[in-house]
Amino acid sequence: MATVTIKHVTKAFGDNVVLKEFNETFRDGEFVTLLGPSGCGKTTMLRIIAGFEKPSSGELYIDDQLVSGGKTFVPPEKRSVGMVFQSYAVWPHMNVFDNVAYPLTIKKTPKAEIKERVDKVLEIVHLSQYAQRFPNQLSGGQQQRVALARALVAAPKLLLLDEPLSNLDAKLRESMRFEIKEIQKQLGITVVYVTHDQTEAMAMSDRIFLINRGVVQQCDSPENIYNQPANQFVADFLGKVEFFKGEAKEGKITFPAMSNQFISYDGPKTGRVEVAVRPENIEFVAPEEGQLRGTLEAQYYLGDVDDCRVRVGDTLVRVIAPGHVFKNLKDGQEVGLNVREFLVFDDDGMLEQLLQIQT
Amino acid sequence: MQVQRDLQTRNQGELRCKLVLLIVLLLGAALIGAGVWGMGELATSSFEQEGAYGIIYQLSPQLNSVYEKDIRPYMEKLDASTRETVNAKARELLILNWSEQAKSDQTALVDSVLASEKDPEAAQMKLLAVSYSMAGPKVSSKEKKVLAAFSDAERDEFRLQALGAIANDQAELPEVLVSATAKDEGMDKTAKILQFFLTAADAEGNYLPKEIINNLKKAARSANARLTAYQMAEKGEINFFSQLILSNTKTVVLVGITILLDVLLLFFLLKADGGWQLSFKWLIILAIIDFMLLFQVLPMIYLVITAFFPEGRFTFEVFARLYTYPMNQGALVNTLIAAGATMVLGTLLAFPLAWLVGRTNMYGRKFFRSLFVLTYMVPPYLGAMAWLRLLNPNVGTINVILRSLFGMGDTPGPLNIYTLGGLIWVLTTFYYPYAFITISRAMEKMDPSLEEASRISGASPLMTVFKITLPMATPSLIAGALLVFISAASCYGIPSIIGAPGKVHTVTTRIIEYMGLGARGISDATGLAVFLMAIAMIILFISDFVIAKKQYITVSGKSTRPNIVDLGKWRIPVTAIVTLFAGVVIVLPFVTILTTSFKLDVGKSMFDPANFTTENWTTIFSRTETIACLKNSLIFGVVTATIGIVIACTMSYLLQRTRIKGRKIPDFLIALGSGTPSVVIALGLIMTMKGNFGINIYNTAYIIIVAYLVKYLMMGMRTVVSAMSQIHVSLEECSQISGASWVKTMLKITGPLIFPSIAAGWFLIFIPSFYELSMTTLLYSNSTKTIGFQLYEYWTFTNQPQACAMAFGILIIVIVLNFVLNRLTKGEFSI
Repeated sequence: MATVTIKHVTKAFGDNVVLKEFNETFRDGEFVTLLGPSGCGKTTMLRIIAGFEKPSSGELYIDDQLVSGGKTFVPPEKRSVGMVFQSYAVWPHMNVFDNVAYPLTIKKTPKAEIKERVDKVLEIVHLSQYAQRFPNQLSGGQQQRVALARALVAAPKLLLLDEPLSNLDAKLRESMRFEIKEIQKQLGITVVYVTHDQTEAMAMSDRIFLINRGVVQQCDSPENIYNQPANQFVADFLGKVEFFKGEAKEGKITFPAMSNQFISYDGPKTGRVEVAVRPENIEFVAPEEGQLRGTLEAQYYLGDVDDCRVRVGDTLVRVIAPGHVFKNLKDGQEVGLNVREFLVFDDDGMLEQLLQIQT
Repeated sequence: MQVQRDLQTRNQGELRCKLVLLIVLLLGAALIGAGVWGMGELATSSFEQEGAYGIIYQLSPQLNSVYEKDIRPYMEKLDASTRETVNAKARELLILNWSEQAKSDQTALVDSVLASEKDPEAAQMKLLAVSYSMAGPKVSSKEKKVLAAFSDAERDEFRLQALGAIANDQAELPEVLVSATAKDEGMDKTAKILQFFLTAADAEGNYLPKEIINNLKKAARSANARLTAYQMAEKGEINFFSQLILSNTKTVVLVGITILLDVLLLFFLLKADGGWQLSFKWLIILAIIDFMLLFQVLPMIYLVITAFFPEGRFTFEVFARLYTYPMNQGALVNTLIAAGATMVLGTLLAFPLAWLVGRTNMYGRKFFRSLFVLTYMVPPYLGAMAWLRLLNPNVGTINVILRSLFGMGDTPGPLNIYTLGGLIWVLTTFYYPYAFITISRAMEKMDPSLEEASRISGASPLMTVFKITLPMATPSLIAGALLVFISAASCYGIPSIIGAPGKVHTVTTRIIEYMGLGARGISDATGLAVFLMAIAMIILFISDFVIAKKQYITVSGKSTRPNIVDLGKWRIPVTAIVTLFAGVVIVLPFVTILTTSFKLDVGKSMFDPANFTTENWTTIFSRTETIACLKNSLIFGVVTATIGIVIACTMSYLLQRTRIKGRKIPDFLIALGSGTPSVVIALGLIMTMKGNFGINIYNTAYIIIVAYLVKYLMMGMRTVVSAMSQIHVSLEECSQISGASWVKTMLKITGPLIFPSIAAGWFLIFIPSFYELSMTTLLYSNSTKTIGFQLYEYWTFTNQPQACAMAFGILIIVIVLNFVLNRLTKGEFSI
């Protein structure tokens, strides 16, 4: 129901630039996630959309209306967006009903209508029986749903969620994830969701914006962003990944740190490269059949998978194998490794730089 | 097996613990018993002073040594018949002396005393020695000089001769005795010879220490008492313990009762705790409880009892008389109106100021914040003095300016400080910071997203203030308002300076006036103090129990960045208004104090060269009395702050790091003390600490320090407690797991982490103690006057410009200390 257009938005606090040249459009009805390590600028972007921060330069449109930029600034209360805060921000001096009714009360909505709409939204978040309770009588998860109901009650065209699940326990977080997604589908609203949890982002989003140090590293669907990371940072941030330095030449990549063993490669890159491999994309084969040969040094049985360390030359390679291989392998045994999928990046020192600030 | 053994050890621990408690309980009971016995003994004895027993205890060994060294060897040199005669004479002399002292025949008594002795010779000689040193024949100083000039050999010879002369009144006398006894006949002569014999024993002429004898003379005035004292001294039947008990019966009973209470309290605490483990911590808790019970609860209870039971029975008489007296009624009404109006005005000022300073982009927020809070640390009487100079109906600077502006001629006015309105104005300017601090603290702690949530819900910034910020801050607002009310109601400095000339009386000024009237005044003062105390208790109850439960804002570990509201086009006008307010309320009074301190005549301008003088300043720095007062103030402040901060640290540790059950009791008592009006604390201490309950610290520095501690301990404690609550216990645990002992952990981890708060806590106790006035007015003695009191005296009776110089000096000291504190805590704390 709403689009958000961000044009060249830059934000600096003093000398500290937290957002550089943000230039994107969030489409109508889309579930967009701003993902990144803490301090990457994702919350600042969200607060700029909400109107709690003014961009240092650039313009921001909600639908086609300019809300921030130049001399124009529409204050938060005039933007008709809903927002759920990380701390929930449920007012302790009002009961659940009054908390949720607040946005309507401010608009001087008739009482009967308020009642009707609040009841309806409380039903959506499964809180109907708690309407008269005060926040201190609610659990964290219930308070979180009060905050959600309050954000939804005025039927906003845009819903902003600032790490709404980070204060919940693991089980509840998982179920709330799907509830939020369901509500979004049901209401068809545009959602901007901020999180540092990649699983959350993968599970809910239509598009993920992966941000690092104020710069969007990649923007794509969860599937693409996982399988085709644009750079080492993206590859590293989503899922597990290991990097090996090698030399690409004549249809193969040789790894000096693996006593010059090599894998075949028919891609375009040559010279010094970084090979990114997800541990689950390496499989065990008989020693003589493998692209690489090494010695199994340790294995950790995790039930569904077997997390192994294989020494290849001077390098310790992590391999995540299906759980059933556990009983067939013994520490110290010689093994062959097949690398099913890998990505090749130029070894231009970018990796070290990118990984340095990751938290 | 293991479980059983554990259980067994636990039971043994419990048993041992209970046994220790029982023993201490018995000790307490024994002390009470001993004290009561002592009181009984005292009641039947005829001594004028409790101290008599102590003196007799000191006297006994002296008496023995005099006998053994200076009497017996001489007696033994006599031949048997002479010795017998001397003894017979001695008995006669003793009877004579006692009869003379008692003015009746004491033969029977002497005989009965001697009959029970194993060695009657020794007994009667000792009795004679002490009796003669108290009331024997006189030896003139001239004669003493002759005796003193003797060499050892001469002395020996003289004494033997004298002893012989007692047996045989025909014997030849030494030269001195001949002239000395020239006028005496018979037994009188013998008595004199004996006295010479005794006197010659010591070169100074005092065979028993002069001081002891003089003290005994005072403690035992009646003949009866003296005769008893002689016997007791001779028999040596007063031992160390009995004399200790007998000379301090009340203290002994007090200690006994305290121990008894402590044991009972400890028993219930341990029972609730379930651990039955005696540890050092309990001792600390009990020590603090005892301190507060003795110096705070006891005085207050006694105050109430005296008010309702003035002559040992219940009566409203005192109340009826007090409260029907129009001047007192006026004082009550004035107090309630002044405090109420100050509360309303102060809160109305404080909330917008706190909001502007904390939550908007007004210019100079930090500066204004320190400026408003600074007033909190300035003695209130200083404001009264300044406003008096500004709003005096005749010569007040503002009035003079207003009159010339509006051409009103030489009539007094238009403003008059000597009114209830003037009182309210000054009280407001000095007490609104109390509400300001409470409210700003609440606003700082409020989670900013609570307000953001309101904005995003469609509410404007102003609407958010009224719908979210204000309701959420309401509990703190009420707490702040109540604090202003009780501070204004119990203030003495301001109403005494403004009220007295304007005949605007308040409860505090009436109490102090009654105190000036002596014994009768005390009972009236008590009646009024009870009223003030009742208000304080009610307010303390409301803010600690009713409001605290409604408190929404809790301390969160997260540092929050408050929402800053853009004032837009109002930014400059608002800043201007606040600047004007600060100028009038803070800067103007300080400047007035400064300029007045350079004036010769307070009524004239400082810029008149004939009226300008620096003499006031040179005087206050050179007058020994002022310097002595300053020294007293510094000492009292340092001692109070140091003791206070030690208690504060201990209490913080107990409150924050242990789960000991009774840890809240001292905390509650400390809060109670701080909530009690100063005048009430001082009055209670005066009534209970002059020896009638076994503690006599009246007119000493101790009573002043105790009063300061009761009143200001909480300021320091709360600071340290909140600092400690911010330090996660895991930091300490981590140090211990790394191998550091508890002490080392405290010194290396906790100490450095909370040091800024400890320093701040110390200053928070020191500063108000340093310039205290209300309590000191009641508790000072000539040697314990403080700078605050000195200033007040000078203001009221002597020289206002000099008082202003002192006041500005105090102000400078406070500001310098604040600066030091800021440096010491690296900017984390300033007041």
